[in-house]
Amino acid sequence: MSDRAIRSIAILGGGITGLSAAAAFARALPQLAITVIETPPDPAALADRLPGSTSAIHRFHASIGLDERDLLRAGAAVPRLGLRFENWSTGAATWYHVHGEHGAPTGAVAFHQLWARARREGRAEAWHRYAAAGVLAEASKFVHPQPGTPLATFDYALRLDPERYRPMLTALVDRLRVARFAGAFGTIERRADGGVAALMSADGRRVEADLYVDASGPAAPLADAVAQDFEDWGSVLPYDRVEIGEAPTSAADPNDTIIGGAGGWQFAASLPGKTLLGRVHADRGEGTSIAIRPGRRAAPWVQNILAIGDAAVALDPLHWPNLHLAQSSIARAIELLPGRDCHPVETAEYNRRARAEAERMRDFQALHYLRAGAKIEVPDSLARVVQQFEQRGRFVHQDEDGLLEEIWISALLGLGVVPGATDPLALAVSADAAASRMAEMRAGLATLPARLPGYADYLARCGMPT
Amino acid sequence: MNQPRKKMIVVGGGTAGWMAASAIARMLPHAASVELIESAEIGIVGVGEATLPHLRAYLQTLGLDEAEFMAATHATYKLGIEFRDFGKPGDAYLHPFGDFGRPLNDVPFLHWWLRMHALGQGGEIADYCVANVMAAQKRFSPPAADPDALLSAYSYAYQFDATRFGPFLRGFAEARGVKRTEGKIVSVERDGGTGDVVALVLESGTRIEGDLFVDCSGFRSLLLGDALGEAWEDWSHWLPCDRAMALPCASPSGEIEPLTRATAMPAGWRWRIPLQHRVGNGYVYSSAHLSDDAASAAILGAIEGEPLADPRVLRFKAGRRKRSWSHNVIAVGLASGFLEPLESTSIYLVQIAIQQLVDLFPIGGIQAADRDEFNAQVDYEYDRIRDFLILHYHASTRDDSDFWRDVRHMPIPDSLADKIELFRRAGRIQRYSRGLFFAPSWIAVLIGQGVMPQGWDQRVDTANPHELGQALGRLRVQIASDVATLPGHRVALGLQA
Repeated sequence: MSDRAIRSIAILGGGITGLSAAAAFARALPQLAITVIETPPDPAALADRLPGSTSAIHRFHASIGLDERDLLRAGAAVPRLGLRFENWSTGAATWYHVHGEHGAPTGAVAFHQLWARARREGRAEAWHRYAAAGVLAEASKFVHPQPGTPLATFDYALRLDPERYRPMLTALVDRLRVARFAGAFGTIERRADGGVAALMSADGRRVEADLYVDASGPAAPLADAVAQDFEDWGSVLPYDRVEIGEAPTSAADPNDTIIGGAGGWQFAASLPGKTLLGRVHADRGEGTSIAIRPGRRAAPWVQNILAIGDAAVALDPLHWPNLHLAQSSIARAIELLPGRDCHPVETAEYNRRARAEAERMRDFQALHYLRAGAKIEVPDSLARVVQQFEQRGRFVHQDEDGLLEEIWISALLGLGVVPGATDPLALAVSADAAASRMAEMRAGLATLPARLPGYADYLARCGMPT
Repeated sequence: MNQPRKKMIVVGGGTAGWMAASAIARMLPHAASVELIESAEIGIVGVGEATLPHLRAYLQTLGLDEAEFMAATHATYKLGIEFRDFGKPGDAYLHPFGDFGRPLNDVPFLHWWLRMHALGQGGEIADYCVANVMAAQKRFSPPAADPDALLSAYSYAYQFDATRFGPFLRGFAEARGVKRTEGKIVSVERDGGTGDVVALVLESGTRIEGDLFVDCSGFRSLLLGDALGEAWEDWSHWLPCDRAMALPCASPSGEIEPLTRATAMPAGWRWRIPLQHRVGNGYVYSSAHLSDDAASAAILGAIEGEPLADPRVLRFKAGRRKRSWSHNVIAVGLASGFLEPLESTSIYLVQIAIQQLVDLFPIGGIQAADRDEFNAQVDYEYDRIRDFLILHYHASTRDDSDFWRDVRHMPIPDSLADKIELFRRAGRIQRYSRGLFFAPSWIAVLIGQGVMPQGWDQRVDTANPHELGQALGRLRVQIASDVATLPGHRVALGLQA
């Protein structure tokens, strides 16, 4: 039947977010007519500008048919094992936040419970040293995960070079017959019910569609024209200025470096032929910094207008949430695509999930600032996570958390939130037996790096340009 | 270890009491000693003849042998709950413990079926559910271990004699150090300052002190309700049934159905739970719409075999205590709240409370935050189940009695109204990550009671209907023929065919 179906989509924004949306919609729904209005890049659109992703990017790439090998060969992406935190004011002086399994449970007892007790007794190494990804990260080694070996259970993310990644998306959407033209937002024609009837570019081109997607960055002129419901998270996330720069290439590193400091933090991410540098802070004085406004739209989907990427949620780049959330919102929009009338009960479910997911990500970032001693307002949802983990190592699952438990626990333990009491179940496992199993595990993992190629060698083998 | 063991007192020796005592004795022997007080004078309700698949996890955690458990409780296998006459007289559908089909290209199976259904093809959605087809053929076999196998996409639960489950667990618990004390509690001593319960005094004059009191006293809610006066949140405006008339009868001859049946009745509904040695029956009704005598007559008229007892009436009210854990009292099961057994959730709620108690066990003393966490988890489960139960009454066109006219027009929680409308639009289910009732449950009940989506996921529109129809046809045939190779339920139980 499909008399309810959406037939056409207009996407405002020609950055990575907009092109990713175009590619994903075109793949999932080849019957759609898709037009991208390629607006001038917004410097504050962090999802489009920064190199970071999470391990969830593999699934998104699979859905749009982008092959990682092609990305590596073009130098558009390199694997990233984790983040090396230096000088964050709590936790160890240097620690690694990595994806993938850490340790192994003993019966019903989670590994982190046994680790926490051993740590308090002074007989556990740093948390990341019980994860294959952490061991490789620290030794600057890399291979892709290998099923059926001790290297089966780790995961990695990708570091993107936006300047090389975007053209690959462009080529992809062209193959998928997406129409695109360069333009800027001009104005909209409204329908009687308040929805959008047509979008006019600044030079007067008129685009009509059933659904309009604002992927143009935080200014979001299209989404703003129909609803101003921005919720400011400035009291929770303290930094609202970002500077981005480049340095000549240094030694290739499978980790991004995050360096804490008074009043902000810095990052370095090595890419083929260059290193991307950045600083995140709250100093208003400097002229070159990009202003961001942490927060989100309470309802990213209103009638037939959907805001994605920085147009929907603005966060600072800690842990690279920007593109991750953009891709997640695209997948969610496809999964929940409403009928042409965009009935409120259908868009409400999208908004419910989007809100919850963004809040979990905000809490995750806020955890880092809280531990660094920043004066922030702690959301109840985060207070509950910290209290339960600190008290007894219990991880509280919340709906729509796009971050895996292992990601949270890696951060909690790295930031020094070590459970103060042993979990009742873990008490049944002898401390000595647990410690000797941990030592055994460590000994096994410690032999890995010597057998594996260095990160730079491995990338060269994958055909990465230098 | 560095903390002295807590002295945990369990009040009540029914299913909830022995489940709680056994779990703590098995899992936290180093953290707590357990004493259970029960009185032979006070009968047990023996609820929960029908269970959910989660009970298997409880048995496994304790290390109990399934075959021994089934023999001791005369248990049968259960693949779901069949609802008859709910949407309208003559309807029948199974709420199965299993999925409908499998996702195709990341799109849930439901949407592919909806498209074919709109073309008048594709058969019934139940034909794509292994549990459903098995139940219809009265066959049973445990799910295949290979997750790719067609015969792996379901789970199962048990139907058992609940009065035998407590005694079965008692042996287990006592062997693990649980002290059982026979006696009737006549008073509860509380600390004048903190309000915590300090000790219980038995009729014999014996005084039993404890650190932590687990109230499994059933509807009487001796500690949480009576002693602490925890407020009651009444849900009878949504779930007006407040009585049950229970009556076991002899098993009819022939194959045993691996399912619990709920049949709508003029003033409520009646359960039918086949065990190995008998059939449990009961009429759950609203006393405002039906007298006890009429209910008794109705259940006597409905049973299929010789009655094995006199009809017995149970009185209850839908709702729950505002907090299940207050001071040092943790209520488990009926002492914390009641939801009618329409979806066999009673033992599940017991299990959830026990699991949270194990997770949050106050080794170093009770923290307010842990108590709040426990209560939040219990609330979450109750709210979910409540909405799901109301759906069975709301999604109906029955017009043949005052009861049904009342319940189907009752105002419903907004949370439920949104879920129904979301499904009606295009077959979407509100998503959550834990608790009971995921997509297959909602699909079964909504479609089973006549809420048919008007649209579907647009991604299925590009499929060629002819090819899609053929693919669905092959899947139906495959399921039917795979299931036909499985043994009948009696054989699976080791009984004579």
